[in-house]
Amino acid sequence: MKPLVIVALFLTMGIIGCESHFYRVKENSLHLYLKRPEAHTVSFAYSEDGYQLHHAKKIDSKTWMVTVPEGLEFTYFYIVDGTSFLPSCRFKEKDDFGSENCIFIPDM
Amino acid sequence: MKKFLIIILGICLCSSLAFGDEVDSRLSTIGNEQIRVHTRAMINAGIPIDDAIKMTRLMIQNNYQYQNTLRAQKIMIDTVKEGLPDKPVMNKAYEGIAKNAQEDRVVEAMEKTRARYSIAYRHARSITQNPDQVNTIGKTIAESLTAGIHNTDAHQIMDRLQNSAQQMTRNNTEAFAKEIFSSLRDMARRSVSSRIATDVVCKALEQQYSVQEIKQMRYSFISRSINIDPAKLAIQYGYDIEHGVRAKDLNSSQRGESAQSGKDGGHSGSGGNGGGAGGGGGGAGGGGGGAGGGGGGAGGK
Repeated sequence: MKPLVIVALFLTMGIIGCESHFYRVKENSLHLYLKRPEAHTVSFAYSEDGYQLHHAKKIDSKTWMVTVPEGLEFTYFYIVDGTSFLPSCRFKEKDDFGSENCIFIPDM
Repeated sequence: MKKFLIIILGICLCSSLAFGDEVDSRLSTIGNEQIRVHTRAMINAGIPIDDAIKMTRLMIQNNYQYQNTLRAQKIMIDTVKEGLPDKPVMNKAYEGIAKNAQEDRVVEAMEKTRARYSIAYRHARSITQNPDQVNTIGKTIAESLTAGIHNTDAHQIMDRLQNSAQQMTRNNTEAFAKEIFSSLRDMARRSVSSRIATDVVCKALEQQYSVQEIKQMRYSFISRSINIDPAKLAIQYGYDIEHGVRAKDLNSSQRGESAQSGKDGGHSGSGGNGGGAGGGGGGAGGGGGGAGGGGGGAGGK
């Protein structure tokens, strides 16, 4: 049983290490993480506040983080070095500008 | 009585002057008289004053041509006059500005959004007259169109729904409409084509799925499409439903893949074909102590 747990732990860690975009809910806030090590500036825009730009914080050499209120469904995208950027995301919709937006749905 | 009417008239005049003054003072440094007149028209049509001024100011600050600002304002006026929600259309303007899209494309995108909501609300009003239900169903239909469901497919579904509606109560028709378009929306949001998604829902209607069964099918699809290619899964659902499988048995119709998905859950791909996101799994690493909540990968096709 113990080796299985260790293998599962390693697999999980490996998978997390490969993720370019993920989230975490903590203390009534939703933290969204984006791995773009080469980026100079990363901003996040979402439908809830009319797509105002929120500057993401670089939390380590690769990862940018932005925090928004938890429990909301919203569409979003990033602006990386001045250009609209869409990470890999589970739910998407057309944006009418020839691209797409990600959709965040709580608990999904 | 006459005195009373004069007082009321006086109050109305004063408040409308003050209202006009507020728009003038807040737009005085930007925009010409025509823009100010249109901004007032937006407010008179029912758009909140702050929103009307914010959108106009933002367009002027971004050096939009007057004609484009006026077009955008007219789209907003048309939106509220038709009884459609103003937020999605206005948000489209903000989204375009944030994406630094060309101004004429922003205005076109606003018009496309308005047109989608117009179609969606027309469909919703053909099912119910209850304003709350019109909003709920209209929003769901509009979201399914935004996700990629074609107008022609939405029409086809509406025709089928209205045929079936003859044997249903009004409440049931409303619930059906909401659940059917939620299913279409969620499949389209997982990049299933309009044709395939419509086919699945049509087959569910042909097999006389209940509202509850359609909901069950939708949840099953969302959960299983994390680990199985969504288009293939939708095709499989269509096939199974056509061959008499009920919603409760859809999960077990591909036993091999179901077993596989149980093992693979809780992670996200980093692009490409990465398999979806981990629902309850801590995608971002452990939630230390009691503070950490659920997390997950947001990626995956």
